[in-house]
Amino acid sequence: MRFVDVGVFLCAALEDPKEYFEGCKLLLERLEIKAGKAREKVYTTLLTPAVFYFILENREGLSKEKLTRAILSMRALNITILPLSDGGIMEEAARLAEKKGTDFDDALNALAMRKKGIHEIYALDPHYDRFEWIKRIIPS
Amino acid sequence: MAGIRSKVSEKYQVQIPKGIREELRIERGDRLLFRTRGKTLVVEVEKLPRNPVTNIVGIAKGADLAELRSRAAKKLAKHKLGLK
Repeated sequence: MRFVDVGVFLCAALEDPKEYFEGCKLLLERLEIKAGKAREKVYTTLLTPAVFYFILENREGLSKEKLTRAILSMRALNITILPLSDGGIMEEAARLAEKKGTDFDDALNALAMRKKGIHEIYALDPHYDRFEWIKRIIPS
Repeated sequence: MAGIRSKVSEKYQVQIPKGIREELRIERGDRLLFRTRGKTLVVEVEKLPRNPVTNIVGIAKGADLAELRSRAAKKLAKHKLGLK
């Protein structure tokens, strides 16, 4: 079981940073649902499409229609969305982000991972290295 | 449309009747969302893109990352706070 962070999608969409692009693209291709093929279990939270959209809607010339299609396409990948609705996760994430010096959304994702028993994350963001229960994997 | 019966199998699987498949253009790979409304089962068809990766890869290629960040910050300062 692994988690996928928004950076993978952003890198694939932006084709930037160049050194990570091929790996991110290959990971997404592996996550395309293909009948009869063994698939790895990959998870994320709703923060991923939310941050993806929030950032990319600022790209000049990128239509909302294309963004909608991209979001629907995320849904079509073999990725399960983990809930963030459990009581206490918000407060715990705030404390964790303060303690580890990470972004709040990273802390929320890290807690969602711990709750699900996931210890590996596909991410470009080195902040995830600050959570001791997480091993970061750069897609390749 | 008149109701069409379909039998639940030993593994609780149900075949979607051909007429309904055709009417709603349901294809292999489409997802169904099951919900209950009282004692009624509601099934919605989720039509998802066929080649999802191509709808993500490169859609924002060539963006100036600094500009993207600056615009996101401006949006935060304006829209999110109700400013113009």
